[in-house]
Amino acid sequence: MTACAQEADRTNTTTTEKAADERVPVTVLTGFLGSGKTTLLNRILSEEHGKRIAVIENEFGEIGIDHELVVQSDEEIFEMNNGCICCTVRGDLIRILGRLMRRKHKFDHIIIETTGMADPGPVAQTFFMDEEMKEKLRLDAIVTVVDAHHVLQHIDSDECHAQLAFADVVVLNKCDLVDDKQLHALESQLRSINRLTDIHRTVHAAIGIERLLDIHAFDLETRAAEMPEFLKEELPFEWAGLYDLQPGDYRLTLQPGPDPTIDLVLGGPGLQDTALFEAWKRNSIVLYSSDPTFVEPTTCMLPGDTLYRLPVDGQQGADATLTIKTPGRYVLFTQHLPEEFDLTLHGDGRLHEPVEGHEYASPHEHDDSVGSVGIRLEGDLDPDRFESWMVGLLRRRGTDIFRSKGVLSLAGDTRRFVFQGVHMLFDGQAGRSWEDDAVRESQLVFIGRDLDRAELADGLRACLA
Amino acid sequence: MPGLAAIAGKAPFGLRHSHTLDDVVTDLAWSSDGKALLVGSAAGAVHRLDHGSEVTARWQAHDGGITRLRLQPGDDRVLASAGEDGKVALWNSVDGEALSTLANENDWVEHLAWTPDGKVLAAAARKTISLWQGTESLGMWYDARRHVLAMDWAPDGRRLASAANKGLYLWRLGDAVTGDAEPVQLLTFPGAPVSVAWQPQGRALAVGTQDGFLQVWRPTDTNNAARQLTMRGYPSKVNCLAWHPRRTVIATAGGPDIVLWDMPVDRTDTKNGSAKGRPLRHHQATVTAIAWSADGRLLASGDRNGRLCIWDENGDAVFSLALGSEITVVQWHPVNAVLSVADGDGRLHLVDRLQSDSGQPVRQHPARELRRAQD
Repeated sequence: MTACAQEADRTNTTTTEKAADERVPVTVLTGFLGSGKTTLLNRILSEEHGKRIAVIENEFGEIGIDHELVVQSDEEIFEMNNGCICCTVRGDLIRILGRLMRRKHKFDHIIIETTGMADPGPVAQTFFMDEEMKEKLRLDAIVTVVDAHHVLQHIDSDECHAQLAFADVVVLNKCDLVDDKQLHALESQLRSINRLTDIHRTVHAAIGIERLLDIHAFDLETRAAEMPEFLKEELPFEWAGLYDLQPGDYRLTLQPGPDPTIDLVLGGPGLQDTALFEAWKRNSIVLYSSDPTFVEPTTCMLPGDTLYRLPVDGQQGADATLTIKTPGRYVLFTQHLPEEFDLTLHGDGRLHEPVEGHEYASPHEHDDSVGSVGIRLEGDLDPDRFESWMVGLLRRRGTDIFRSKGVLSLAGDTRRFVFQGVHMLFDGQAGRSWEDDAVRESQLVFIGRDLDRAELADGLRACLA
Repeated sequence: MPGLAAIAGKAPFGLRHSHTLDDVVTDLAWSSDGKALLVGSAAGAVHRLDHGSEVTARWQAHDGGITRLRLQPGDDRVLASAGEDGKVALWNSVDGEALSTLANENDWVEHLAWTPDGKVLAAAARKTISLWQGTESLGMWYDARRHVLAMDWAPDGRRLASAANKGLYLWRLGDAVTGDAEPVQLLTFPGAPVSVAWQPQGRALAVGTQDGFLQVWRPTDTNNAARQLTMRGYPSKVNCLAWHPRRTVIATAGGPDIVLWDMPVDRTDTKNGSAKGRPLRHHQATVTAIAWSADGRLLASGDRNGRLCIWDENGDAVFSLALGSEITVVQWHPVNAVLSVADGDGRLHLVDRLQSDSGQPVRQHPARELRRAQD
């Protein structure tokens, strides 16, 4: 990445003939004390992978010192004097890594361990702000170990939010101590903070090294190849299930879940028709912002333009009746994922499974907590307008915007433009070409504190060519 | 092509000798008579090369890389070394006999310096500067708030400049070093230093920063007010500083260009910041090492891609050679125009003047102006 909120480098697009990347990959491993981070690190080091790994750990590390190279270091944070309060680097890392890179036999991988209290920003920015680090090393991924059993106690802390906002990979450890429902709830909470993170459930930090090391999470080319799937559509409901139903009464049963109520819309019939399904989806977006109808024990939920709010008792869960008059395919839009409440539908003496299910990302509305805002916009962006918008936005809000990633459709460019940023630094390059039949659109995700969806969406829209 | 200057007839140099060591050279030291060269490696070994070519001694000095090697001024038989193993040790530089282990801690010892008279040795690890006279500890200077990022003894041998985040500090060597000693703050600036160097006559002190600017402190006789200058415009951290041995000219690098600053110390000069840095352009990659010859007539520089360059006193490149991997150290012989150069493949090269002329043209890049601001 170039210097602070500088222009995205659109000229440097000759990526096809790029020489093999000889930079040494760096993984930043972070997590709170007791999360299992040290166990994970020891597993990585003891596994037979044939890699020569150097570890830079903070002062309170406990890893086996018989390992090839372990350097202890404490955090020396340097503010970069370029006018950005959030541009900081780790001076100790620059010096240590500079020396480690001056060896005949280079390391295959470097792991930097940080505590859960440390802000991941300076570590990440070190690899973009220092010319030497940038040239010799490649930030591969930020991996955060989370104790599934205890994380809820500190998930609302600033430190925890920052850790999760930066994570490319979350290792959700100690999953054996938590039941499935709690795990689902926890995962959806993690996703509401950082929707781009990959979550792996583990017990005793057991996870294949190939899922942690050399995964190119910071690599724009790799990300470009994975996209556009990296953005799930963001809707006011998290799930849509399609059911084939005959006339009669059906029993919708929910177990106690993470929330005291759940909002539902029942639509149909005729949902085999995808156009009709899309129409119902749009309709439901509107309905979800209307006043809900509370579901009483005597209420019969009917397909139609009604937003139902079903109270879910902390002990008893919930039961509701669905009445179907015409046979056909119906859709049930649910505010939360069905797994979180073990949602089931019974009728005619048997369990009805959905014939199809769609998951959506839950939206992050304007509040002061850390979350993700994803924006999707059809059409081409004006490159200059986009650039000046991003530069201005990151200058103003760079402290609160921890990460930003996007795939853009720029006017006049046959290829996707892929970019990502850490605080005020951002960098971009050309990605894959647009296919002839592809809908040209731009997708952006911001992860940060106090994000205003409307402001971001309006800002992007104003960049349309 | 503009600026194309042939080196024919100027001062042709040639590669005399190359020697492959066990690992990358991290530091080297010539004996004062130039007969011996002591070389430290990233594998922790010290090699002694006599006449610069024949290895006459080799010993494992550290468990981990050597960070600094310093021969004691006034006594070439004593070699001080510091390493990533947290050790500071003294060696017989002739045969490698261990004379004393002065310190054996956990943290990397990143800095090591003798006073110019060779009486006191200082070593810094993290926030602590330890001092010895001979093998006797003089105690330590410790500042809990600041890591020592670079340090250099003043030519008088009584004051040690220590560069820390956002400031430059001066410790005074008293009759005794006490635990509650406090440094004098010489400079404050917003950046983090990566290098520090005294002008050899003590007329100025320069600090290069991570943020790509240079700070120079000059004591003046008017109002006792020292003058602080700031030079900006470097594309990356200013990691190379080399004062001319006699003049108040400093060669600096923070990117592919070397920049010479002429720093008159007379109080009547350049208050308005009219002085311009003079760029020397030949390198295509970030410069990693620079050094003046003992007589100050030649300047050597090496870069990240392994390009070695020798400049004459007019600032013309008189020799250029590609060595294939990053140059880690350049150092001139103390008497003759012989240059020792180490590269990232663990090779040590000696370059000296050729008898015959076999020069090749050296391309000079058109000059770009750097600006200098005064704080």
